[in-house]
Amino acid sequence: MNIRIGIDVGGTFTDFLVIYPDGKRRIHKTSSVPSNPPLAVQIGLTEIAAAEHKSLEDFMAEVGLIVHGTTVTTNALLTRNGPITGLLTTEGFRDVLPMRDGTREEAYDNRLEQPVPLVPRYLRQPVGGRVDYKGDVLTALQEVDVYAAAEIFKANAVESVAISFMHSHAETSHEDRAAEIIAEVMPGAYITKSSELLAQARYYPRMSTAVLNSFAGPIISSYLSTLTELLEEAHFEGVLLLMQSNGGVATPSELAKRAALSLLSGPASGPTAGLLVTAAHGWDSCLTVDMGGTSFDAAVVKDNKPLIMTDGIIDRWRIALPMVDINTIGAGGGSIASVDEGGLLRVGPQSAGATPGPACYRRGGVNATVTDADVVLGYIDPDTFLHGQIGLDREASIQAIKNDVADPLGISVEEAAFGIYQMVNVNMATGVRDITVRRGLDPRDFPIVVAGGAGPVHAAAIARELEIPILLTPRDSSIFCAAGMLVCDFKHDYVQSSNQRLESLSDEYLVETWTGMMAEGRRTLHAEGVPDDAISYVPSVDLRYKGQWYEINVEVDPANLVSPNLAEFYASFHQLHDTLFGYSTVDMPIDLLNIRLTVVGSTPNDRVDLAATTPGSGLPEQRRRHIYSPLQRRMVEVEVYQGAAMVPLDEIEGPAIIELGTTTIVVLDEYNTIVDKNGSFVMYLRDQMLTLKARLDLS
Amino acid sequence: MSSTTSSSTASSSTTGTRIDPITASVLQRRVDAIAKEMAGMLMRSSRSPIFNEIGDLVTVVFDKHGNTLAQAEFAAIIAFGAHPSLEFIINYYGDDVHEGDVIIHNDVYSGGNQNADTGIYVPVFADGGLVGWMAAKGHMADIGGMTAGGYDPNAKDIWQEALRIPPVKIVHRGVLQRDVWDFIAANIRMDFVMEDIKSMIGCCTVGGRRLVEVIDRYTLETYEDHMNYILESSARQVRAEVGRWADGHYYGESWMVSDGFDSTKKYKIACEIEIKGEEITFDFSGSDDQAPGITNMPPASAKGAVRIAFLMIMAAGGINIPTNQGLFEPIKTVFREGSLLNPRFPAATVFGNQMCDEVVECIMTALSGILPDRVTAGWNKYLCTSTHGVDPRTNEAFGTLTVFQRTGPGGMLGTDGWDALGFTGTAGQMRAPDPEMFELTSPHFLEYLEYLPDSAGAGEFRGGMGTRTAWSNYGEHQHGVTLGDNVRHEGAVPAQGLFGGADSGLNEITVTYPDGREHLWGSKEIIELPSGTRMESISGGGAGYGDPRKRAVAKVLAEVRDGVLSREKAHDDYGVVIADDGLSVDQVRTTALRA
Repeated sequence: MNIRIGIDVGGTFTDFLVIYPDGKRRIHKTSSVPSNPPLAVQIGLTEIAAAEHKSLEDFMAEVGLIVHGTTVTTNALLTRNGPITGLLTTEGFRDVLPMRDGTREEAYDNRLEQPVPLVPRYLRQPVGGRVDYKGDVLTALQEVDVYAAAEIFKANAVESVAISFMHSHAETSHEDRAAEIIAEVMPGAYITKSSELLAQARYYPRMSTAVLNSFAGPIISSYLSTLTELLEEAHFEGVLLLMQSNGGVATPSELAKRAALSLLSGPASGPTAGLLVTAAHGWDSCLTVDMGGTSFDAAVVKDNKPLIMTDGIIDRWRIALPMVDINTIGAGGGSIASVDEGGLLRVGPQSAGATPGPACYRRGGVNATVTDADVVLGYIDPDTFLHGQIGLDREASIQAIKNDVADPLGISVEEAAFGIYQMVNVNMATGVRDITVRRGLDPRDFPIVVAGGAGPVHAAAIARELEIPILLTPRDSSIFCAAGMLVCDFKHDYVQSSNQRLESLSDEYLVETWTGMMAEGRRTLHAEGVPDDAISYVPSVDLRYKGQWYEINVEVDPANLVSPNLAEFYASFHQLHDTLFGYSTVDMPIDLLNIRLTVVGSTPNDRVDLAATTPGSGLPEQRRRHIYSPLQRRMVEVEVYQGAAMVPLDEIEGPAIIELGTTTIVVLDEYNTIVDKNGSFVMYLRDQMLTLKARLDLS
Repeated sequence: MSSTTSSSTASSSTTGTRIDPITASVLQRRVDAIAKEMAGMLMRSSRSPIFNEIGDLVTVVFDKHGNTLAQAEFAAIIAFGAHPSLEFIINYYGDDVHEGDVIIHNDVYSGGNQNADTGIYVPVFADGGLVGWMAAKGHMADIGGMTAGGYDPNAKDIWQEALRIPPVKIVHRGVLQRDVWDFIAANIRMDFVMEDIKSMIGCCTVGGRRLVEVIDRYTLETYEDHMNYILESSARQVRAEVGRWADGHYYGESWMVSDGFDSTKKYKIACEIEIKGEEITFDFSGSDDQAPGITNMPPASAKGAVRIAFLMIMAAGGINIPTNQGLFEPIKTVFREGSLLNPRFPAATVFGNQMCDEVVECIMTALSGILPDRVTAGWNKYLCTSTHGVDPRTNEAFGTLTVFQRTGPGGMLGTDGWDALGFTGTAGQMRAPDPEMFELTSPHFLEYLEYLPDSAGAGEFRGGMGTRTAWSNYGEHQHGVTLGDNVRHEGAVPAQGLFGGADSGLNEITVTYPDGREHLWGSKEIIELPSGTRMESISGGGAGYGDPRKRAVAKVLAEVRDGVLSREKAHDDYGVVIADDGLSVDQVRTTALRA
């Protein structure tokens, strides 16, 4: 019962990471089945069992833990293939959802279409009754409106209902009663109360989050029940946990209640996985970057925790639940390069995707893309790309770049390709810088962990942009997220809005609020099988100077849960404000907006050790090829190493290429790359060799 | 650190750097990122909700000559207004600009666009010389003058409207000029305004630091030569586009009603556009003479409005050009002195920014004949209120804009107007206060806020819907002022539909005082708001584009079902007969009606 499995369902492949009690691991990949995602899980597990010459049932009997991340709700949302959803709003506010924050994404583009709301207006039903900002009931809930709305919902085959009333963050009784009525009239309907999901002020974000939750609810519920059944049939008696977008895990029944946490949960374990890679060197912080075909994700892990945001956007809608802050920009291998009429080069955000794809794919794509530039520059070998599964046409890349970029700019194809390479690197570096500087962090303080098919090709150049001296590429980045899932803790976030001046905040109120949240967190974790001694609490408050609009989340010492020390709140806030904005005003009153508590349940402590199995057989047969050296600004002939054959402490000097089958590490002139004890490839600036190697502790 | 990407092979000669288009492209991205980072900082660190909630601000990176290199726009009309002030500042100080200086400015008679839109300008130095300027400009919650918030339709001259700040150094060579600082603070009602000024200085300082990093990396010469190339490249792009437009003279006009003294007086804003080869001139000389009150538009603001219309027309063609100075080099503007769009000193001008809607309407109608696939039908001329008073919950002063009142933009070929988007001058970037936060942070109760049914101007592509809103107040010493147009009881002239589309709707705010007395709030009128006053507002939709009878029947049906279009209007305007169930179309009668 001690086998652990991480399963990451992606768009193309479902990746499995199996970890045995002796620390050995097995990596397995099977094709995803978009029409029936649990099927891929079943197929994969059957294949793994077969590889061990066991029946599925015998194999599963030994599995104690499965952690699973799914994109099923995200995909349903993006394709609008979900349940018919209804919404109850306070009378007079039924259009808060489509009005959003009153802005559009492009300033001058009058052709930009409004997003179509998940709930059409005839299913956004107004309900009489009003609560004020303090939570006092001004007019009673008009139950008749709720009943009438329920009839309309039934007539329109509504399966899922979100309830979001004005100021329900301060008083929940109207939402509670409305939910009772809906449950009574529409048994079986999925119901979200915005006050229960997210008891914080700001109507549009709370409403939008509740609607997303109700949209995702039936999808994740049915997915989970299928998956659970399937695992039960396979005699699985261990624990099934699901990845949440807040970077923690939860049981299926908990996730089904807070279904919106499954949105964007796919990449949420990536930052934690980054720590697995840096742990070998004693770092508890890192940046993670992941560059794929159409997008680039960047995230920050600091002090062992991924940074969290509460202003996420998905499909143009606000999701205000705390989520791992992953900055996604439209830059990938498929990003299209073009020259505007003014003679400036542009790269992206338009993407050729996988179909028609870059010109070199010969799938009908004619536009020059980043991948085409990488081929021309020799960074990607047309013959061995993706294990040689897709033979690339270098001539097609040359032709596309010549037509689209080189000729219009009057420069050589090589210069044009290098231009594309630089542009996309600057775009990605800006994406990384954004996510750090807006938190008052300096990117130079962090090593970069690189994942994704196109990541290692560009990472060194991005690191140069950001003046980051160390980059780490795990040996097999395809199981990056799956590995991260196995080490994520249980995590549940609670919030209560509480609008008052900090100086008037009473200790009793604060303790009472936190005590309630702790009790609820404990209840939830107990139900998930987490014992008391594995539970810890991270209290925080959202504060701002009087009159400011944006609050800052200030984490405080858990000692405050029992005996609050407001002086600590003041000091931490002033300090954090200074870090973020360059000043603090000590004599300015501070307002409290929200009280928060994150309840964490540690998962079993036997961590994933990437070191256990590192294949390899000494330095490999050598090949050479020509790549572009940005330093020398010309093509140079370099060694091509086979990464799979490299063992710990093997070290090579740039410029060089390391082929990993699914990706290529481009080692630029200024770098060396050494294999660490995990088998990860550590690239560092050669001119800082002594300091960096000492820091890396490669022993 | 040393650089791998600077154009070492594109080496410089005595006559200047060889231009590498790649380096130029990369530099453009870098400078753009600086402007965005500055705006992000300012949004998150400032106090005034007008800044951080509504986003009425801009940050700009200029070259040393004062050419705009990049800007992060939230309020477009302010964005373009930052540049003329800097031109004045550069002339005014000449060589007397030093590292560590911070200059504050708002005066409309030295390049400002509106006195409330106050700018912070910070010169940036590298290699011992001036290399650029950083600016942050935003709508201050108060800037002195006879009325809190600066909007007072009774103003007849500039001194009544604001504390005039011609360029003043509030920091000189890194030393805060405490006397100047205190002098300005003493003339502003709300203490947090000075905190916002600190935020503005902070973001300019960071922006300056970033610019120096870029210059260090590329060398000053490479940086400057390539930035010039970028400006030229934007200009080239605009010239190429304008060159494709038919030469000729085109005319459009728009009407503003009420000047704050005479609520029914009509003013014409007129534009004659000349396209000749690759150049385009917008001549507003035919506009009426300046008004006696606040409804005058400083040239900085008028120029900004022309640029907004121009960028919309470019964007409609799928052309996205970085908003730098080069973009506007082929564009000429003419504003006759003494007219509404170039008033003589010392006319009051606080309403000027609001006249962006009129300027845009002139340009769109003028060009509709030659660019029918690019122009947008009239945006309903925007109306909202600004209010100030004391919040009895804290006994502290407050000020806010009720910009949840939203009018509709016009439709365009292929696209309906965006519902409840509002004012052209902010080009869809002005945030609306969240309903809950409005109640939490100011002494108001918001009764309702929703789309106004039947408000969209009919058309094959309809205008955006307007809104209906109602709220009441419980502030002390509270007053409110409207700043807008298109008010029904004043006899407003709606914005024009195009190619058979209906005109825009109209606006109206009905005020009910605690004693039951009612008042129709004028478009530019300041009134006392005793605690317990109720405001009920109708904000009209935008104008339509094209014959409504060509509108897809399914769209008409969907809107009837959604309750935003009445069956009557579906019948009368669109020629669509909705069956009694409200869920289906009577095809036979519809076909007959549409024939």
